[in-house]
Amino acid sequence: MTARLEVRGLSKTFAGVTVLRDAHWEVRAGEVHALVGQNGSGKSTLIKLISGVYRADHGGEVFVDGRRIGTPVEPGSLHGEGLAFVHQDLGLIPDLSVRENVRVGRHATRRFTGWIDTRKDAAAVRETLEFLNLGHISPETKVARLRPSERVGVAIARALQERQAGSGVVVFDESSRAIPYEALDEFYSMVRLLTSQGTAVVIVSHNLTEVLQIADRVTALRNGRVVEMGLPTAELDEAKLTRLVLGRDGDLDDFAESMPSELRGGGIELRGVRGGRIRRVSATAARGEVVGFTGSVDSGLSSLAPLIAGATPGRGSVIVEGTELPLENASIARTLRAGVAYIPQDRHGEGLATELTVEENVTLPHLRRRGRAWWTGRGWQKAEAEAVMARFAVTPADRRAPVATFSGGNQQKVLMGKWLLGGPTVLVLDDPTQAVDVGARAAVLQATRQAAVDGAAVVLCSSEVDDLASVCDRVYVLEDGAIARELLRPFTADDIFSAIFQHTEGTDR
Amino acid sequence: MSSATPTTTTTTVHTAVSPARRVAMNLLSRYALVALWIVMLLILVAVVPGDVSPVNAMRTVFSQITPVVFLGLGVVITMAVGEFDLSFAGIFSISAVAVPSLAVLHGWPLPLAVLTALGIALVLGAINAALIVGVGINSVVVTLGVWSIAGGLAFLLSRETTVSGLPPALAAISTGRFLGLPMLFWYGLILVALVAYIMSATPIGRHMTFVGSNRAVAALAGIAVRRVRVGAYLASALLSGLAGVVITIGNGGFNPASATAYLMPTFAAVFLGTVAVVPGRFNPIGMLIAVYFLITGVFGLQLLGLTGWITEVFYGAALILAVTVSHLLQRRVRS
Repeated sequence: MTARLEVRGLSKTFAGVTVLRDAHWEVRAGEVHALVGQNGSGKSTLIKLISGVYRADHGGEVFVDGRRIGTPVEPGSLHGEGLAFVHQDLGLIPDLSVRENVRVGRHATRRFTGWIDTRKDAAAVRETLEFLNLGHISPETKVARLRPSERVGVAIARALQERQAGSGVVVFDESSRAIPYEALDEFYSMVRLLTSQGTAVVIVSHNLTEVLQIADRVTALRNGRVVEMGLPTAELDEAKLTRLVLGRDGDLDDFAESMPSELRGGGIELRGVRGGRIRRVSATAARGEVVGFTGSVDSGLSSLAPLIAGATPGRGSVIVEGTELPLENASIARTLRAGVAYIPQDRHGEGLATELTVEENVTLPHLRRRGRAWWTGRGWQKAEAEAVMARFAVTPADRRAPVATFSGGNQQKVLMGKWLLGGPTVLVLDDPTQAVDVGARAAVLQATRQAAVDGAAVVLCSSEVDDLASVCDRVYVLEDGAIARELLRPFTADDIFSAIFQHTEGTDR
Repeated sequence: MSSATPTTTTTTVHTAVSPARRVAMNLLSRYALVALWIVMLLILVAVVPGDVSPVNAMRTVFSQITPVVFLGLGVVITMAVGEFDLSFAGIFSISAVAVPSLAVLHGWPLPLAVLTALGIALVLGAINAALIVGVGINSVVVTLGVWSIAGGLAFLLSRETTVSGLPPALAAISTGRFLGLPMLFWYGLILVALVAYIMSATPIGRHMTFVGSNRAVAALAGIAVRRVRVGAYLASALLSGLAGVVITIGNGGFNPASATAYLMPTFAAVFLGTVAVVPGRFNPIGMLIAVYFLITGVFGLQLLGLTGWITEVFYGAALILAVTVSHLLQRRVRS
């Protein structure tokens, strides 16, 4: 039997870094196939290569029903080849009607005037919706007025229109993130409807429980390679699947053990912090301690670090060394003055000005303290930039080179150095090892631990359980915007992982 | 991300370049515009009929009574912090007209007229800042509107003609000569040196660079981003007002219809300046070099018998060429 979708030898290299290497993958007709892996594992790269968003390196091939469609894959021809993609944000325009959203790009037109034939369009949309058991949705309803699960249906209708039933492949790229909990069952039954007719469905998902529940087979990626292809889910349980995704293989040192740190009191206290998806968080981190925060994707974890740093408005207060900073009128400048250094997740957007030099970036937070109003001073800037480059082994060690010319890992080292050199009282990190290579990751984690040894209170917000296990003294697990559990040493990455997913185990999600 | 064997390694291959060659390349990238300027001057001297010595040609170029250096400084400041200001031509015009109008037509004492002119400029700059930084309206729209309003009000103040009649003795303030060059040139030089110093050697200048490069990074480092942006608009307006005052005093009066002509040379100089001295960044010294580079070009074309239309074509071409070269340089840096 020829595979519905087959990928052979697909690779992708960005600026000398191979993010996907020689991927082989096969999806059969009528199955639900899950693609799993951590951030940076290469799974989204694989999807983007198949959908033609990225151009693959020379030599890879993509087949649909044995017919070669690339590489290179032409995004414009995908629909005709039977491939459809439903992205995380669904790509719907709320102000337009269902009909307009579904038919965009393939409107029926009148012969002479070239006007859109709304009647023909509406009929086509109604037909597709009925096929999906969504006949109750009128094509003229505005998408904004639909329930979330219906919106997913509309996105699927757009992907499936003008298709023969049972043909093709539909790829759901983290689509279930857009769907509220109570609507998931409807989504899953829509998926089953598609596969029952022979259409292949691919789901890209972080939610391992979901994968076990609806997927027939699983393909796992790790560090740019396909490590397991088409494993039947019948042979898996959550623990095995987790191991597959994380690939526990002990390449990270246990810095918390090898670099013991003395607790010194003081530090930072969060008192009733609220804002974004955080509902109420109270916690402490003493000087000399690394405290981790983690949680699943919808736990509110991503809102926490900016709140503590005063970068987003919130409620409650943060107390730094006895000084209370109310979050109602928080500002970054005030939090910074209190001694809190914040290393944001979005390295390019918020961490470093990439077109400026390493020296300029590294010295920025210390200009006012070290320089005079009419003279920035040159000696200390040179010394500081060189110290950062030496301490974090930044290569090439050229302080006058623009940050953009460095690799991702080296940029992250520069970013860490920028804030650690000032000897902050509190260090707040937001997923610092995202998209850095293995070597740089160890360097970043070691620097994180070193900051605590040097007397800083370190708050590490991360979804990478390996990182947390490597450097943290304590780990708080967030759930629905509040602290659900606190883990104390000794713990392993597996312990943290199962603590994160404790609430979903056993429940039928 | 985790694996037993690190599969991705980044190797940066550095081709060995001799230090001398690197210094030479560095100088070339910084001062190519100066070299080009000298070449242009020499060609001019050779091609133009009659007896023109390079020194004389140079002196003629530097003796131009032009507000472009002042205006360019304002634009460099706003551009450096990532803002866009079109209104300088209008602010220049209304300040230049206000001095003779108030002093001659309304009989105000001259110092008061000058102060009022500068005050008007600051008020217009504050309007820019309030709408762009305060309310968050698109800077192109706001400054385009302020330009038009200020330019229009200048005609109202001047009663739609050239206002003149300022005491000729005062003209020496702007056009009097020192070392054979007009005072206006020296004022420009001093201001450029001052702004260049602030931008390159003080914390304020570094903060400006970061605000212009990445506002989020600047804010997270505790920089008062809004204050820097407001300051840039005020500084730009004040410099435009100052330009108006010194030009109107030097000429004894001002015709608001002439103000628009300075828009293109100013933008051309500012962008051309980004390929010199500090390549890829808006910088005052590069702008100063570019101003006189462009004046030389126009001057030469005029000597060759091309006048009128050629000026605008030349400035337009220089602007596009400058931005293209600058863009290509940046792309090379990033890759």
